[in-house]
Amino acid sequence: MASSDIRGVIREYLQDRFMIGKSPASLSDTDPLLEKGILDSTGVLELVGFIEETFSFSVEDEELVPDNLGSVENLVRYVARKAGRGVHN
Amino acid sequence: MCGIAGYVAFDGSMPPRETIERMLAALRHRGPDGFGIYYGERCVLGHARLSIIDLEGGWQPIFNEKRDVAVTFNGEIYNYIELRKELEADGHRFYTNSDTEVIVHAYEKWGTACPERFNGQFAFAIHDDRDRTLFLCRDRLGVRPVYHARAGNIFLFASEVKALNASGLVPLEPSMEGLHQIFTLWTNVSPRTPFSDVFELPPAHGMVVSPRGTGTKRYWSLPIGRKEALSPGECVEGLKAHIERSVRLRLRADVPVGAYLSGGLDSSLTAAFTRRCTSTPLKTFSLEFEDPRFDESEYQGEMARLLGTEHSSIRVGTEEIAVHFPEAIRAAERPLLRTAPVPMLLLSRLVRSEGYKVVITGEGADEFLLGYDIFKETKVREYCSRRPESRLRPLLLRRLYPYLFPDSRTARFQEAFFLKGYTETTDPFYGHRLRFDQAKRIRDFYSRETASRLHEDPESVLLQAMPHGFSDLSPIERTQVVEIETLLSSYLLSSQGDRVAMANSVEGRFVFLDHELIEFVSRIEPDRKMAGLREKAILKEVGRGMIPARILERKKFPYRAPDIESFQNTAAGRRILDEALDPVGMETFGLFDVDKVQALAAKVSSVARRNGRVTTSDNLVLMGVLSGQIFHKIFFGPSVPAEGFHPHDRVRRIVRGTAKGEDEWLRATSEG
Repeated sequence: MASSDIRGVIREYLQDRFMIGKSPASLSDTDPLLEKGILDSTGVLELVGFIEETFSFSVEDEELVPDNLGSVENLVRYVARKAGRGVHN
Repeated sequence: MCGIAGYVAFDGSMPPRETIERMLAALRHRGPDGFGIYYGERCVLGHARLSIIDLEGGWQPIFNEKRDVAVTFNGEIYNYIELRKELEADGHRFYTNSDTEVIVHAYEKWGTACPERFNGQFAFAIHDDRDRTLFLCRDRLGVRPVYHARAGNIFLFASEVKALNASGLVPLEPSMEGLHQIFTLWTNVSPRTPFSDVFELPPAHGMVVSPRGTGTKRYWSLPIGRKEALSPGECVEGLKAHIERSVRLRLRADVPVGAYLSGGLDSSLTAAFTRRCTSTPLKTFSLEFEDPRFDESEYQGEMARLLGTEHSSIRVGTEEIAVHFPEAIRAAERPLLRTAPVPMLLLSRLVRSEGYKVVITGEGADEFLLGYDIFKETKVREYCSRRPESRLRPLLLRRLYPYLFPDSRTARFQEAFFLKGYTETTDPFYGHRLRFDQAKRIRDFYSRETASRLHEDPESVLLQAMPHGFSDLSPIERTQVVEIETLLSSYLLSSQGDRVAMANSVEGRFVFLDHELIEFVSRIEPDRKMAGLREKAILKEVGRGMIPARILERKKFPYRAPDIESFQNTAAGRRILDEALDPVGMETFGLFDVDKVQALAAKVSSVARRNGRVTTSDNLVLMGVLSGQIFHKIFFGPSVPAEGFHPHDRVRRIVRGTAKGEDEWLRATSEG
């Protein structure tokens, strides 16, 4: 999957699950999901479940950090790397 | 414990006599033992009575010697015996043995400063014929409620909003700003309510209403900032003496007094002191939960056995919580973002069914002695802010919230969540920042019309209501003040206290809310109250030797009940949820955007079906919408005509006569 597709899938998921009532434009790819109130302390469990299911790999404990999951940009980079592909913009 | 209601009409245009009867009948649950009414020239004072002190002589309203000062009173003045002696020495004559009578004479002697002399939980209204003044007053922490409204030239007051409405003079309309406050702060900032043009008298305030105008004045402030270098021994011994004094005062009643036992430190301690201060058998009451995540029955049983009390408990099921939720909203008269008031409603029903009217309880210790996790969280965040580069300091959060870190995998992420904004230590709401920000999400679900009608920022309103000196306090002290000034009085003591207890005619007595105890503990440094991350450290020392170490050293177990899952996971709950989220009803209320709410409900429901965990933020929003819709249906739906008295009711009416002789000033009639 190309990174633009990954981005689309992730953005769609976030919009559908965590941004009900918000416009897609209200979140930029680099906005921190915690700071913006998109994810809370329990929401991350849902997000991890989704990533594992959708992209068919398991998220290792040490990977569960904001550097990997903290913004759309970080998520795309992380998923692309884990799924064994480089980032193709 | 009782209900009060009444009105004054300065231009003499008094409403019909039945008006007060309907108001009192709406307070029947607060005082089913009899109704007393005083019809003055331009004022009417009413009282719905629950007999606790002076069972035969305690009819209200009550007067001074000249019968030109009358009072209607809800609550207790615990130091009435001492005050009476002082007033009698001053020449005042008493005709009953009740604490109520002390109020009129204290008012004669000290005027509107009289509440400064009272130790108790009270709301009262005094009418002074001499200068045609009504004085409305409420206790320091806001244990007992009183609301007021105007209808033309008539000023009305009552213990509950439903009584104002029953007058027929105060139609209820939602206040969007008031509702918005509740959805974002969990509670209103007094005097605002969720009803337009209906106001609450703030705690620790007196209000004078006269033909010359209206004025509200604070008579007591939370002692903040004044600290003394007390030794650990002085703190423990001092607190112990205050608890014992407070319990003894609160055992003053002419009916048997019971005690709540939650299984935690505070109520174990208040029950243990109660046991120590009374020679009669003690009855204790507890809540058990079917859901083991919330249940503390093991500890309750242990404490009851240790104290040798006669113990009764009620086991609450998840479905039951959903079924009784609307009833709790009716009692609380506001949307509830938590279901925790529901089990308290069922517990007070148990107390009443066993013939008890009064229970000693432990609320307030967490606020004043630093028991809540939010205080530890604030301490840890501030500690981290002093060395942001430290990787070790954030590990303290894991110790703090084991139940929020069920999956150790996400621990780093959780830490990042709790450290949001942690370097902003000058933020006035530093301790509450995460919660307030999380609650703001409800705005995304308001309808366009609602959003356009909101002009106030609840946080700014709250900041303005904070006491003088607030901004100079440390983050942990500011967090404490916010908890006390907002959640304690308007949520814990009200929705989860007075309202749900009084719905079953039960009076709670709060040992830790004795103002002298509060003034004492306010002098103690926060670091003594919470030593490191050991919450209520001084209180634990007080309890040493009195309660088992297992209970003493138990980590604080927050009193919680299942929220949205009560509705998602049970058949009756789902029916209530579906009905509340029905698009037609939502359009009628107009507060929320139907499509957005439906999308969220669908998401939450799919999570529930997969046995997943509903996120905190989704839970909060959906609870807000659900309770907002139920609130709307109860209070703004088709109205049922307000009832008057029943034929078997005991009613005493006192009418201000027209004859000149003093003996003929008042003509009393009793019925029933």
